Amino acid sequence: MKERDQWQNRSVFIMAAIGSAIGLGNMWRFPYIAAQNGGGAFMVPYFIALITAGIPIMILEYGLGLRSQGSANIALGSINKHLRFIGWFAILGACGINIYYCMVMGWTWNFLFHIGDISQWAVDVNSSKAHFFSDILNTSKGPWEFVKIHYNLLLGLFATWVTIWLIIISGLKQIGKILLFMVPFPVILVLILLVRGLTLEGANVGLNYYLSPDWSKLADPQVWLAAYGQIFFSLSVGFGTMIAYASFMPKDTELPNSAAITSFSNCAFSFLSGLAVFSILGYFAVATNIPIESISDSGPGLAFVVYPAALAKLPLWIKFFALLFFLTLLIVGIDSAFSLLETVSAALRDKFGSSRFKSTTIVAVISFILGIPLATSAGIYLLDIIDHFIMSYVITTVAILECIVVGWLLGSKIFCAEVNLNAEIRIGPSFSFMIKYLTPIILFSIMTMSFLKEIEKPYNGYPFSAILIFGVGSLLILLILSMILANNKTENEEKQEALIKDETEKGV
Amino acid sequence: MEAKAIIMAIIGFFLLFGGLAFSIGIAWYHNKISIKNNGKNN
Repeated sequence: MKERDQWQNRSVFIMAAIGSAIGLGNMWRFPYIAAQNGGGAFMVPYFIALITAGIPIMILEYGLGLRSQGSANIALGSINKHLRFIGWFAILGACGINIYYCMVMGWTWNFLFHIGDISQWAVDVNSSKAHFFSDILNTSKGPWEFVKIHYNLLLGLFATWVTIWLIIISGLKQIGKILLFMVPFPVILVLILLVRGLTLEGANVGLNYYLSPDWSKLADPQVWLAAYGQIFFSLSVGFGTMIAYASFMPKDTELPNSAAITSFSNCAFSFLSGLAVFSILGYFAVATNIPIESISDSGPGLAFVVYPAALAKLPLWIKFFALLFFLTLLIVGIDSAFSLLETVSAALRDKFGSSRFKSTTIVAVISFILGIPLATSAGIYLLDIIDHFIMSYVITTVAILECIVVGWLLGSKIFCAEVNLNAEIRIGPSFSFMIKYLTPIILFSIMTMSFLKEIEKPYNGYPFSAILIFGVGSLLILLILSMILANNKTENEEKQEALIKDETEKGV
Repeated sequence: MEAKAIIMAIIGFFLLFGGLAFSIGIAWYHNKISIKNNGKNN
């Protein structure tokens, strides 16, 4: 068996995990979810969700990776060979997410090239909307109207894949050096945006909207589910990424406190982004005399429509601040995208014993080709449907199954004992309770709610045929491929799994 | 800015950045002990 790559030290490992966890969702989802679910009062369920579900599930994934020194397929396969399938489901889910995530980065490249004339295309929200949907995306009327491939989007997609491919083939040592820049840099950029925002007239309007607490919301179970959902979806768990990253550390690595540092960093960045977003939106609301409620948005609507329009209204240095904002989006996105590529590449290396260059190139080329339909006029619709189905079902299912496997099959006591060997903060019965009962029940509730909404009416009003083909179809493809990969075991996989089993039985 | 919004900003900041600082502090302390005992950085 080939010698496995390793991070230089624990700090680099934590940096890598933070880079993976901090993504677009921190900037464009958290502020909106917080404002919609009680404002400042949302901090209470959010913090409780972080402590009771976020950190425990992060410890769980780190633990699985560290004990197996392998990707998710090996980590779960070494507990029971029938569980290898769950690992592959997670890894292929990561691959699916990366296919469309890189397209969003492709949009960002396009915006970076249009910063020079931001004052023309972002005169107000309507012109900014027209720029995004007509000039950049050239959207059609629905998911079945592909019309044609847009070369600006294809080029953006290509630029993203080349960037993350170059990063991953450079090896873990180089990645470690890149991370030393890629992780702190967005924090600095957000701080600059925040300082600019806070010094603008009207910032208080946005910040009041973001932070004024509505305590009555705490009695609403939907707010608690939103908090758990936000924590869960922003930590990059359930993709197999944290398992792969932890597997690149020596077995005596400390885990619980590393998981706490990663999770707190991720949430602190979200909070900071919320301040930067709403201070500038508040200024925009006052400058244009539009109620803040009507311009508060999430997702691409915030990042590519409302925020550029707000930046274009700044009194000075519009292009500079627009550049900072899109650079931040690009960097946080690329950190996450290359972690997803590494997840799939590492799994292939573990399975077939192939080289880093070969496995990464194969995954990058196939993913790029599969992403081409997203560069058509129907791209944004396909992206939306696939994202919804993978996030709501694949990732959530994987996380629930991981909790069941560790909590019930492997046994939370054994797991805690293994983790506590080198722990700075020891875990025990409360951790066991969270992964055996609390986290799976909450995740199952989130998934059930999503499913019930699906039955009520098709997601986002898309035609049923599109939901069936692109949404359910993607899930079926991932499911079938996972089964094929899990059933066709290789010598490498078997050797590694057997080694872990032996070591566990001997108590090494 | 409303007083209650300022208080929530402080609480949010304290909980998240305080939690982060606390975790880093623990890691730093253990690292210091480890260097003292083994002469090795973990």
